[in-house]
Amino acid sequence: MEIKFFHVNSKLFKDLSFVIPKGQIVGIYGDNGDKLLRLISLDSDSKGVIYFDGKRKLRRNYYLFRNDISLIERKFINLFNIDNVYEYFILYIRYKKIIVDNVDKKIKGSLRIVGLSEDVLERRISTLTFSELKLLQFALVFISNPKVILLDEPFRGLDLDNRKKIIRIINRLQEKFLKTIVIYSSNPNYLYQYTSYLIVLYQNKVLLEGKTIDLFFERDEFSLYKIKRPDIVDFILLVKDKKNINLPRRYDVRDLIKDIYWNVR
Amino acid sequence: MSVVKIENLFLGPFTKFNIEIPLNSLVIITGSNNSGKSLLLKVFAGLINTKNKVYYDNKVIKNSNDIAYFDDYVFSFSSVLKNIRYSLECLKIVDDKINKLVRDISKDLKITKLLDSQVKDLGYYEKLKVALASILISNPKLLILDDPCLYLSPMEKEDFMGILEQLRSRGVTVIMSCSSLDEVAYTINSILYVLDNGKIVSSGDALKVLNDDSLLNKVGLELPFMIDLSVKLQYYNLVSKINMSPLGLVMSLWK
Repeated sequence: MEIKFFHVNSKLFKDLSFVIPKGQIVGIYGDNGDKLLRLISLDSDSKGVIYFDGKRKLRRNYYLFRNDISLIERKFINLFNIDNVYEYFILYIRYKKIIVDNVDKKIKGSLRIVGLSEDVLERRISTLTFSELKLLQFALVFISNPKVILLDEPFRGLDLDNRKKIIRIINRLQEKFLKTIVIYSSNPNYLYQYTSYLIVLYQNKVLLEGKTIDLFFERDEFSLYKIKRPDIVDFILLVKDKKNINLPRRYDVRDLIKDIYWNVR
Repeated sequence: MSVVKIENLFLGPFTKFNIEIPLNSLVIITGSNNSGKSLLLKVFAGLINTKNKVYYDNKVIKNSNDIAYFDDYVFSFSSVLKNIRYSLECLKIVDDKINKLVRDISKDLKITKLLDSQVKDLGYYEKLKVALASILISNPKLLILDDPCLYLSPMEKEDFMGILEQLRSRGVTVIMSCSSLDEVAYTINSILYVLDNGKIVSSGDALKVLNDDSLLNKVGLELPFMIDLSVKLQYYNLVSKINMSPLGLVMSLWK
């Protein structure tokens, strides 16, 4: 689903215009990016022209898009004050008004996608660890099967293995099911590695918009406005600036080390 | 001398687990997900019944009020000042004394300007500091923090670790857990424990533990970029020591 914003005003943002392209992993970077996610997910009020797939969003046709967009919060919020995981799933289905033929099959299917075992259903939510809660949040979203998935700081507090697990899920959603995925993160390293399109906010306005790798390497707005670049990009640009040596654009430290080795030798 | 000691703990992932926390130290416990960090902190705080496997130093910790545990903030009142004052107001302490304490603590945590505002108007870091102030006002000797730096930006992390360092100089023992190793780089003389599935894999002075990058990667942790880069360059004999500034590293590489 393609999302277009034209001159949108809200309590916080003034005159926002940007496009979120269809079927890509889009990153949002900059302060108050999480508030922008809430604007896209139609949680907070806004005035202006918003198009979802060429259809204009009006106050009276809000229900058309409600189930197409879902937001994964940075922290699990217990909506119904229920501690049992299975009962939580059942209430979530009722709350989202989703019509399901075989409830158990659907729940087990979504647990299988995220890689949680079925014993989780018998456990209590308060005994789950941080990573299990994160995967549970993803499993809950797959039940409603939205077209746009918004992620608020999805990699915080996860170790390498669990982060790779989530990246694999995100990549599969994007490639196989052509979902649009929007990630907000305050860590530019993750955005550089995992997103293909980037929107940079500065003082509640859209500063930059475009391909992630080109933006980070070519635009000098980052140093001008003191916005942090990814560490690896910073290092490559510093080498070019001080020593006039062109290192190739790399995503991984191990590749960078090899380049440095051949250059220094 | 140790403030807290755990001996022979059998609980969850832990089997025959022993750990000692020295007095007046900053202890950081890290590890991958599901390694038992939060569980261990809850055991330290005495929130889980362990059948007397936890020993406290009687001279430092006289009762349970000397231990403070913090994992997530819940504010009972809408105003910042009321939240901070409340625990002392319950004890019926004289108003002047409370005012002085509030002034001192808000000066230390740099929240003097926020005292008159409402909690809902604050950002995440400011809320964290207000929650910390409401704990510190009852003067705990052992402070236990469960991943306080999780949603902080690098600048805020540096500031927060400075606050903890200041607390330690005043005689508070701090135990905290963290899921990324960024904040460890901002501390001095801290003790780092690396947990993996209920076992201590590595422990000691923080910077020394960070040197062993293959072990940390095996556990599932990621080193901060500059430490990672200089440790890997050490393998190729290109640099001799860990260099935290990018400019210094570039200058030492291309002479």
